[in-house]
Amino acid sequence: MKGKIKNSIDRFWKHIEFFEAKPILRRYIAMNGFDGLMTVLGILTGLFHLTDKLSPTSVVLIVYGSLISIALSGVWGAYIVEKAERDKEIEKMERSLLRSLRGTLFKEAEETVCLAAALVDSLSPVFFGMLATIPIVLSMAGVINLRTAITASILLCFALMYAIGTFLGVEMGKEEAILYGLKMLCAGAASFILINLLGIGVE
Amino acid sequence: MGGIRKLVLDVLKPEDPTIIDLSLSLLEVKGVKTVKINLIEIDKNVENVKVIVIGDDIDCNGVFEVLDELGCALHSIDEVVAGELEE
Repeated sequence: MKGKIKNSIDRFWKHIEFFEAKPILRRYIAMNGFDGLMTVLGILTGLFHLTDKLSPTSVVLIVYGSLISIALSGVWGAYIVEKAERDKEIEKMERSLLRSLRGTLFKEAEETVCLAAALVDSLSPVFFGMLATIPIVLSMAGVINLRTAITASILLCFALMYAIGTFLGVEMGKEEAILYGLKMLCAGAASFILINLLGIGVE
Repeated sequence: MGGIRKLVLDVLKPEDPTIIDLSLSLLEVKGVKTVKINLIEIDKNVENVKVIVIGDDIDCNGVFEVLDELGCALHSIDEVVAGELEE
């Protein structure tokens, strides 16, 4: 059993390396994690102006509902885009080799890479979104009040955006990883300011 | 040991996997002791290589299966040695 699992893991990495898909997966983690955080930040900043009219449960439902939609859109989008891209590559290779590549490592690796991309693309925003909304869940349990929870979640969103930027910078071997983190933070800050202006205007 | 001791194959392979990966995969086939691959020609996305497999009682089908799994097209079997290997 242990050997089988090890074999499957080895095969998975072999397939990922075959198509040199590690950078693609890394991009999906960062890009979609950031998308998830921006969505959560947008919703929470908007809801902050309505705190008196909302319960923690309704905030959790709104945020998690959005995250589920992003996850499903990620599964479909990434799978279809990756599959189309790999199919094109394989067709090109089949023409050069004058043979079908069905049943070869190419087709197996293609399926693995497409599924991995789809999973990463869908789970990354959910993971980061759930991390950022831990204070809201605490508020649901009555540990903190909703206003404090939303403020804490917004701050967590900023912290995670900075972390994603730094992760990208470090992974790319860039010395200015902090700068990458700050660039991510800027996008979040811009969204925060715009939504607050909208909120103040509506109020 | 008798059986097939040497195979020389003319193979058209994709540029990936490399000839290093191909040789290591062929070494895992039953009976294979040595693999030598010479690059003959590079074309767009593909490489024409001469694969020399040496061993004792080589599992020929195993060799063909590895080539097939890695997306290679076997053009021809150029040389086969069975029994005692010539000096």
